Order: sequence, then C-alpha cells, then structure tokens
Amino acid sequence: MTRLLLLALTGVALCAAQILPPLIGHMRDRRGGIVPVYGVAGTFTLGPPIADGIDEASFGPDGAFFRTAEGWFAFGSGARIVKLEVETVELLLTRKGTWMRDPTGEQCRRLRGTAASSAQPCPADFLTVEDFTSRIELPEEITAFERMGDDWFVLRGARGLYAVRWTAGGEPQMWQLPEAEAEPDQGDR
Amino acid sequence: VIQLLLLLAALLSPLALRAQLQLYDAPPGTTEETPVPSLHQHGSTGAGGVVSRRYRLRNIGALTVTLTRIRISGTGFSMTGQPSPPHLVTPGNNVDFTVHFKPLEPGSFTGHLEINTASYILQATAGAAAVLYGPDGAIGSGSTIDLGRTERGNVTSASFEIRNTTAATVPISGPGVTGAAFSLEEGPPAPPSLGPGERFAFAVRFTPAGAGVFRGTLTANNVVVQLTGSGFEPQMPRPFITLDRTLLRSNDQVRVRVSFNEPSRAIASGQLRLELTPVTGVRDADNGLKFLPNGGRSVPVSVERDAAAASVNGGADVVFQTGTTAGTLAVVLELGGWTERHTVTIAPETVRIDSTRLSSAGGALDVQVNGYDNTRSVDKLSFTFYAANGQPIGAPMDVDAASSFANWFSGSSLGGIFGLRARFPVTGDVRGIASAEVKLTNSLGVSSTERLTF
Repeated sequence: MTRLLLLALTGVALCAAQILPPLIGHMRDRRGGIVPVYGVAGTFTLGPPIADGIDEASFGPDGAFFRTAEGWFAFGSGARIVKLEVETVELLLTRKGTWMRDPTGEQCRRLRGTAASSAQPCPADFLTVEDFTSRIELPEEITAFERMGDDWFVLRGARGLYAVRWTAGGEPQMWQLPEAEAEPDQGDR
Repeated sequence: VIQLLLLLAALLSPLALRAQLQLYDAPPGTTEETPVPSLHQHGSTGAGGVVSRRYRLRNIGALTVTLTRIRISGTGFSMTGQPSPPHLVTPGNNVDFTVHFKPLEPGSFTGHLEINTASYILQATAGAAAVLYGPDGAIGSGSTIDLGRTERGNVTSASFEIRNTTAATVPISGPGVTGAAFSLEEGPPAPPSLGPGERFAFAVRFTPAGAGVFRGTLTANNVVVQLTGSGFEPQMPRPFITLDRTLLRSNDQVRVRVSFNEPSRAIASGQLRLELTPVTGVRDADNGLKFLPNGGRSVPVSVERDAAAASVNGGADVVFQTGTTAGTLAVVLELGGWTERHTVTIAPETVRIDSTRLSSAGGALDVQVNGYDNTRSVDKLSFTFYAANGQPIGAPMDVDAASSFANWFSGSSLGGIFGLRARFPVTGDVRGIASAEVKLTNSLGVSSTERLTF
C-alpha cells in the first residue's frame, strides 16, 4: 500500500505545481469597495476593487457576505451572487463562523455559502472589539472589525486599517494594512 | 516743377511731421482733451507732495508719424507711461503718458518736455510745507522705501521724520501705514503743526509673516510712499530620521518619525521617500515596499513653527513595509533645505514561510506554501510525505523549480512573495498519508515547513 502511494506521488509532482499570488482575503476599503488582499503577514498589497457600494462585509471559510443599500448578499461558488432573504441588521462573527442575528435578538442563523441556516439559539462565543483590544496592543481606538479571510480579520480605526491573524490555538497578531496602492506610472517602482 | 519739389520736401520735413502731433491735457477718467500750449501750468503742491497729470499726444494728420524723442527734464519732474522711441503713431491714434511733479522743497519749478523737435515748458510751484525724510533723505510721493530682507518672526524698523525747514509754522498730518506686514512703532501722536525747525520722528516696523515679498504704503503729511520688504524663513535645524528599530529585515513593518534636536523656528514642507537598491541580479519590482496607509513610496512631511518634530503624512509618524527584496533600503528625507538619508541593509535570507496548508480532495493531496524569497533564487523543492506512524513514505521527492520560480518572479510585482500550490494525485487510500513536509532551497540555504497535517 505504501509503495503504491509513493509511486503515484512521484509520478505527478512536477505536472501539478503552480505559483500564484497568495491571497490573504478580501476587505472593504474606505470607499466601500471590496478589494483582494495579497501577500504575507507583514507585507500586504491590494488588488483592484471587485465591487463597490458595500456597507459591511465578511469573507471567510463560510463564504463571502456583504451588505449594500439593498440588503445582504452572499457570494457563492461559480461567481454567483445571491440575495439573502433575511431581515437582520447585525452580522456576528465567531473565530470560524459567520452568523446573523434575527430581529428578535434571540435567534441566529449561520451563514454558509449562499444560504442561511434555520434559526437557532445564538452561540455564546461571538467576537467583540474587546476580544481584540484585550489581547493585542492597538495604536488607536477600534470602532469595528470584519472578517477578511480564514484566520484573518480587519480592525477599523480612524487613522488606519489593521490586519489581525488569529490562528487556532494562537494569540492574535496585528499589522497595519495599506488603504490604497500607488499608480504604477508614478515612477516610484 | 521746382516749386512742386519744394512743396513736397516741405511736406516730408520734420516740421511737417511735427505739425501732425498735437499735445493735450487729458485727465484720467474723462474724455476731456485740452490742447497744451508751449508754456503750460502743470500744477502746484506742498513740498513733498506730488502733482501727476496725464497728457495725450494725438496724430491729427493724415500720415503716420515716427515718435523719435519724448523726455522730460527739470528738478522734481519725471514721466511714466511713455513709449520707447522710435514709436509709430498712425493717423487718428494717440499716445498717453503721465508727468509727475514731486518737489522736495518749496519754490517755483520748471520742467522741459521735449517731443520730437517740439518743446513745452511746464511750470509748477511747491508751497511751504513740512517735508518727509526717510533713511536716505527727503522723500516725496511715489517713492519706494525697501525695508530689506527680514527673517519671519523678526522685526526690521525704518526711521522717518517730518521736518519743517521753513520759517513759518506749518500744519502736518500724522503717519499711517497699510499692508499686513507693516505697522507703526508705538510713540507719541503727531502734533497738528510744526514750528520752524521742528521735526516729528516716527518709525515703521516690518514683520513678515512668512517668506515672500510684502508691500504696503506709508502716508505722512500727504506724502504717499510705497513700502516693500521681503521675508524669509529661518534656517531649519537639521532633521533626524528615527526608525523604531535598528535592524531591519524583509517583511517588517517599521514606524518612522522625523525630529529635531531643538524646536524648529522654520515652517517647511517636503517629503519622505523610500529608495531600494536590490542585491545584484534582483530587480526592483516590489509593491510590498511602501508607506502605509497611502501605498506609495513617498509621503508628505511638514514642520510647523516651534515644532520639535515634523508631521509625517499628517501624523507624528508613519509606518512602512520593508517589502521582500534583499538589498539596500534608504529612507530619504527632503525638508527645509536638508536632504537626510537613513540607509539600512536588508540582508538576503533563506526562504521565509508564512503559511501552509495540507488538504485532500478527489483522491489527491494539495500542498500549499505561502512565503517569500528575498533573493528570488529558489531552485529546488523537496516534498516528504509521512504515514500515520510518523515514518516517511519513501524518499523525499525533489523537484527542480528554478525555471518555475524564475518565471514567477520575472512577471510578479509582489517582490519575493509567492504562493506555491502542488497537487499530488494519489492512487490508493489517501488516508494512508498523515502529514507532509516541504523544503525550499535558495542561494542562502534550505528552509523547511513544519510537519503539515490535515
């Protein structure tokens, strides 16, 4: 059995290697656009906006969710955007999941892909700003946070946007994020 | 025939041309034109005053006349607005100019105005009056007093006097100034009159609010004097670039500030910028090297008066990313005439691994390694898979990745950053593989991931 596995691995290794820009996640920029964030922890580069008019967003293992003036939408596989038929104004994040609180305040729906689960009691481990501020030293007051990708969050302050990586079993680490990219023809590249 | 030639010569002579030009007294703001005789009363004023009168020279003939001379002479007389000879005056057109009479002493004065071959006597009188004296002697209306160059925050003063040099008591009017940079020094108010030989002294202060030329006026005893002065910024103390750490490496976020050993009296603006000189063989294609949050390689810097530190991009400091390229990084400051460079070496490193993932799907293993190589010289990958008991499954699989990485780096603007995805189709039960390890080799050596698990 072991030998069979080894042979198969050896035979295809070269054919299936790819090198790509490492995508950390997506974030909502100051102008309400959604931009991809590439790089490694400490060196971030923004890609061009892929959507505009976004008021709130969450990108993570459950999928991509964003709110516009028309309501909540989910960005699913196959580049399909689905409007979520939920009446809520509050998006809740746990370390690994994205939830929406029902208007009653008692029930929550877990968001997965382009669907919302049935209402169920809200879990108790929702993250708050205090969860971040009590664990990492922040340069300014944080007014909001959103999910950027797997293990990644964006903390929003008046002077800057900050990326926090919080892996399972680890302590959160923070870096500052770019909020714009200089035009390539500015001559400084 | 001879008579005809003589007539023609007469028509073309200067006398004939002169006859086509008529001089008028033409007060500004009116359409009035009064022919000026050869002896003309220009006007009268007190000593130190001014009488300015506009004159008009009109071509009343049918031929174009060349103005070859126009000038005035005589103590106290001057002229402005006249054309520079030679100047053509076409039929029906006119030339305007202004003659100024600025007597510094009482008395009768005569000006001699010459226009081509014609001449006019302009008579004017100056009554007994007190005279304004400046730093260089008597001054009349229209004069300009330059108070020189003064550093912002400092004061330059110029002394003036109103002197009565006549034998009678004369009324005077006190001084006043206009212009934000000019003021009168505090002192006793001017008396309503000065007796014979008496004088009233006062001083004008010039306090520029910044760099540039400043203008104003001084009015004293009906004499209006133009005031000028230029301000300049004081020398800014040498600025210092301070980083929040001394040793920098790739993928750092560094906080930088600009400060002084003493408060800056200067107000200045400039820029702070990042300059990268990569190690040999590596090009500067690193979007990761930039200031945050603006994403550029330069940010504005400014200094306010008495500040002990500069404002960098609108704040006390600014953060920059060092990027992922080995070489020499210079933080360059241009501010207040200073150019300061803080140079640090970004040392070449082995490949740095930022994140990894091992997953399986559809009977295949996916290995994902994100990291950076600041030398951009990755040439070899080595994959080792382990069984559940921790033993390696066969020998490591070495892959020559030099050309793949070279292609990636040559087309990427992310510096040394890469995201490696390797898929391994598996025949058999993929659950027999419990973990994996990846080694990446560049010119500095070998880097290894931790043991990757599902």
